[in-house]
Amino acid sequence: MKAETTARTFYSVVVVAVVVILFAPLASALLNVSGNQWDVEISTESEYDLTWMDTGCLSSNLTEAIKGQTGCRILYGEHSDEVNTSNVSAVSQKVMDSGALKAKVVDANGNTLKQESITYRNAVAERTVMDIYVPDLISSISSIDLVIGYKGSEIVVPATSSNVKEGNVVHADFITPYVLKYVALAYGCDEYVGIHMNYESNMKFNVDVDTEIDTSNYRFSTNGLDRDIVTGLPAEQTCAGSIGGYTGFTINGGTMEIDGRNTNPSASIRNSMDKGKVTIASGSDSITLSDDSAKALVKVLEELEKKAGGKS
Amino acid sequence: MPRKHSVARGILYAAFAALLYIGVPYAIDMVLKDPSIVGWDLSDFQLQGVFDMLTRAMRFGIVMAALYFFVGFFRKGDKMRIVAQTVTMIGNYVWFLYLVNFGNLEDFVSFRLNGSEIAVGVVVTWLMGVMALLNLLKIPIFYGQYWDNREEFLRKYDPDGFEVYKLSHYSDEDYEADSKEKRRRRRWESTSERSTRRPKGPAATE
Repeated sequence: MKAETTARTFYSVVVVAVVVILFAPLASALLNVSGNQWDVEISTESEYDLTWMDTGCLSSNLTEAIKGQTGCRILYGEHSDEVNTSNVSAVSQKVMDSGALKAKVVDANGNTLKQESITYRNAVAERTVMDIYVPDLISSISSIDLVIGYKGSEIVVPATSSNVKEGNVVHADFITPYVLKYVALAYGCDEYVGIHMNYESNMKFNVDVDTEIDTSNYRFSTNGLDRDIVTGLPAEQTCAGSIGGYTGFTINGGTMEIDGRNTNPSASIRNSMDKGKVTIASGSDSITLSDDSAKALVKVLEELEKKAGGKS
Repeated sequence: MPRKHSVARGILYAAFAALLYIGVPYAIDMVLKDPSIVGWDLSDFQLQGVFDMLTRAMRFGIVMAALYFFVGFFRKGDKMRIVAQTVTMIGNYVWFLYLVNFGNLEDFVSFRLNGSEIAVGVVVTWLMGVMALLNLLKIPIFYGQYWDNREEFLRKYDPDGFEVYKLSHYSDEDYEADSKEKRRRRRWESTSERSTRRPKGPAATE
C-alpha cells in the first residue's frame, strides 16, 4: 500500500495547507470580532450642509435628530437656539433666514446627536448622507461599493462619494433623482442601501439594508398616451422641469406628472437618450443620469405604461 | 474463479455516497426548517438561499450515488476503477459548482438586525479554482491504489493476465535465494526475452 499511502499523505498535507493559508485570515478576523461588533449600523452625526436644505427639509431632519429629547440645541454660524418637537418649524425658519451655511445639533451635554441619515433636497434630487458601521472585517476589505437601489428593477444610484473613516466606518453621500425614485416606488420596488464589500479580492459580501419606505402609498396611472402620473409623493414638494430634451415633469400636491409631449414618456426619454446623456433640470438645479440609470428608468416606465394600458 | 467485479460492493459504495450527498443535506434541511428540534430559534432569518443550495446538493447527489456504484463495482487494481474514480472526481467537482451555484450565492441568507432587513450574498470565485486543484490531486491516489493492488487483483481474478504481469515485472525479492550473479543474469534475460517470449494471448502462456 505504499504508493496509495504516499499519495494520500501528500493530498492531506495539501488540503491542510490550503485550509490554513486561505481560511486562517478569515477565521482569525471572525474570531476576533465580538458579538456586539457584528452590527451593520447606519447613522450619521447631525451636522447639516444648509445649502442643500429648505425650511421643510431642515425641519424633518431636526425632528429625526432630536427624537423627542429636550434640552437639544442647534448651532449655526455664531448662533444657537434650543430646539424641541414643539418649535422645530419655527427654529428651522429662523436658521434658514440667518443665511448660515452649516448647522449642528447637540444634546443637553453638548454631544453631537446622531440620526439614521441626513436627507437634503433640491428641486430635482434628494441627497442622502450616512455613515455605515461595518464589522472590523473592513480592515481586510480591499474595496467597497455603495449604492441606493430598488429591488425588482435595474435602477441603481451609486454613491457620489464615499470614504473610510475611523477604521470601520464608511461615510457615503448619495444623490437620487426624484423622477427615478418615485417611478421605482410606484413600480413597487423596495428601496435599499447596498453595501458591496470585496474581501481581499477573493470573496464578496453584499449587504442590502432595507430603508423601509412604504411603497403601498405610491400609485402609477396614465392620462392619455402622453402622460404618466405617480401619486403618493410627499405633499409639500413642488417643482417643474424637464427630463432630457423632449419630456417635462411637474411635482405638486403629492403627484408627479411626466409629460411625453405627444408620445409616451418612456419613448420621449428614449429619444433623448439617442441624442446623448439625459439631464433632469428644474430652474438652476440639474442632475445628469448615467446611461445605465436612463435605460433602467425607461424600462420601468415602459412596463408601468403597459400595465396601465398606455401604448409604448 | 471469483468474479472480477462486485455488484454488492457497488451497492455499498452507492449507499454510502447517497448517505453523504443526499442524507446529510436532507438532515440539515430538516433541522433548518424546524429548528426547534435542536432548540434553535431562527425566526429572524430568511434562509431561502440555504434551502436552494441544499436542494441542489440533494438533486445532484443522485448522480453521485450512481457514479460511486461503479467505483465499488470495479475492484482495486482494475484499470476500469481508475476510469470510474476519475469520472466520479469530475462529478464531484461539478456537484460542488452546482452546490455553490457556480460561485454566485446572492441573497444567500437575510435577517433582521437593528430594525433593518439585511440580505447577505456571497460570491466565491477563488474557491472554485482551489476545489479544482484539490480534485486533480486525487489522481495520484487513484494510480497509487491501482499500482499497489494490481498484482493481487490479477492473481485472484485474471491468472492469464497475472502471467503477463510477472514476465514484465521482474523483482529481486522473488529470487532472494539466488546469488547476485544469477539474479543479474535472470534480470538481463527477462528484459531481452520480453519481446520474444511474451505470450500473445491467454492461450499462449507457458
